[in-house]
Amino acid sequence: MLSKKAIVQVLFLLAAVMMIGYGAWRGEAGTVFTKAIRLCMECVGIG
Amino acid sequence: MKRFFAWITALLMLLSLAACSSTQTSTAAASQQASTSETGKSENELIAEENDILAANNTLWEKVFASMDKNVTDTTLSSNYGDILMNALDHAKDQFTDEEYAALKADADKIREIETQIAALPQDEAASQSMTQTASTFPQFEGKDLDGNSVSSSLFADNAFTVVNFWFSGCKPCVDEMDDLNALNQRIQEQGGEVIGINTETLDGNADNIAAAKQILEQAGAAFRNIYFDSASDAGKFALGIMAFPTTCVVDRQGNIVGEPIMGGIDKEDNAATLQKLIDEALAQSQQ
Amino acid sequence: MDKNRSHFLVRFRGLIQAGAALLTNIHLPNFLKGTLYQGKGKYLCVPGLNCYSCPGAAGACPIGAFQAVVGSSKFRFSYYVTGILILLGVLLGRFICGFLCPFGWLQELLHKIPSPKLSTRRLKPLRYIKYAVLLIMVVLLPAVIVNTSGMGDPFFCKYLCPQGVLEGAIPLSLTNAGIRAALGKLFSWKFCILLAVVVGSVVFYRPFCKWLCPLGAVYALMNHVSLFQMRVDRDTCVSCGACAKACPMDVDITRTPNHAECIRCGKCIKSCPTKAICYQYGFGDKSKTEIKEN
Repeated sequence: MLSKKAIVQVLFLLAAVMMIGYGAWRGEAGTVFTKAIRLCMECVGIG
Repeated sequence: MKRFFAWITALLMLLSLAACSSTQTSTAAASQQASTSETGKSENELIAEENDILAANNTLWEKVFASMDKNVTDTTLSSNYGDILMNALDHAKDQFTDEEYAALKADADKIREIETQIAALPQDEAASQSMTQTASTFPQFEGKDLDGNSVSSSLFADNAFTVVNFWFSGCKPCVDEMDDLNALNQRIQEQGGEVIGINTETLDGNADNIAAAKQILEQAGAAFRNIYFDSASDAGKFALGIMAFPTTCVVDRQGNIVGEPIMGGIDKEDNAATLQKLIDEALAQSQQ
Repeated sequence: MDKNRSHFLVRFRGLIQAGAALLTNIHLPNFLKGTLYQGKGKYLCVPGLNCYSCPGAAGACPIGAFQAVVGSSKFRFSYYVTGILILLGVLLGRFICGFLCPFGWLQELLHKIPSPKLSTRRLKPLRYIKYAVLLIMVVLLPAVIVNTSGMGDPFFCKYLCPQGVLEGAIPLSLTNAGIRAALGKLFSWKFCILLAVVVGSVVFYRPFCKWLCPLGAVYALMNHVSLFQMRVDRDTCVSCGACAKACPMDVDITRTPNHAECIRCGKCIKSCPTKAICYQYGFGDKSKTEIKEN
């Protein structure tokens, strides 16, 4: 018998995987990529 | 063990301190290779001094520059930059109070002196400088603008100078300077200059990205030409090699990149001043 | 996880931290070249706070990535990065802070510099600042304050994050004259923050983690449901209070084993005279298993 906490943990894991899948599907991963491979001047505190 | 960690930390701190001081003395460091004048200063240092002088009364000088662009002639270009400023200042005299005029006049005097020093620098430095300039030619390309019209690197020859701006659609500082670039494009048209945008995401003619880029340009009211070419071409490799965005460089009529590319938005005062300086240089070269 | 394995982890924590910092920034030659790694790894997020504008960075910073998505014209929220954060949070929780985060490691190293050390016990309310930083600077402002194209600034990265200066601005400006020329007021401001965190880290234990880090805030929330847990054996515990005294994060592990502030550093495990504390990994509430069995 799974404890209440275990059920919550499983649900969180499932939700996480679904969110990653949905986010990647709608193109968020690409947005992350284009930002991460270039120097983001405002991100690092240049100018 | 503890001591080992303390050493590492001390090293880290030292590094960060070194970084700090190096930023403060960057101009000096950059000019170390260059030969120096009689006063012990290199051309880069002297130019930096000029920039500092102009930066101190930035808003006033902007007014002068604004009035000056319309009367650039061969004679003004070949003469001392301090004289050019003095001339322009006299033209725009009525825009300033007596005190402001006096301050600007003093600035121009100082710059004239510095220019004389620069002119007196050993000739070999000037030669090596022009050599490094010819070495940084903007790579050849054949491509299209975002409306599908063919363009090639021959466009540089059609302009007295070309301001090339590299950007990508997800870059907020790039998008934020679009209206400034558009204003610049309109302003420099009379001088035979043009602003060209290169959105690195539109290379190879990616239709989605071209549409996204066009939408951004439209929203910003930017009407200057944006172009793309093959990412495998020399120019494509050059564009993809650019790491910091936005990057803006000035290309003269011969297709050479003048000075160093500017990193960061030209909507910032410092960068705008540097850009103006590069444009003046490019104009001077085009006249030769 | 048995007691031996727990002690093993605690013993080699420093090495694990060093290894994690190295793996997170594995592209070392880029430091000399002054360029960024541009490969596929940047699609993914690293677990710790590690700037993606660091020349060596192997992946994207989760906080930076979240703001990049939220601040883009196309999206107002990032399911992708939130999913990654929940996944990491459930799998590891604040174990990431204690073992994997390069910036946490740096603060710990700085704390080893001999100096008078100040307790943060009385400064507990400051802990809540990090949740405000997460909510306001990371989630809300980049999505709400936008330009005409619908793009927002990465407020945390731009105005607060000292890691960006340390890993991005400083190494890049050392090798790249163009970037050196671009350093402006923003750099000065953030350099001051970095300096404050560096000095603060010498006298306080991990001040940035405790009070400001939005990534720490996410993992703190996830600590309650994390598979990585602490267990206190009630039979062997003699309630001497040595663990609470040893805890640099001001947590009493015997009362709240899955406290939001516990970064699983294991100082309590080391300090326990009866070896009653150990790590526990798995589903369900592992902190109480021992009591149930009795």
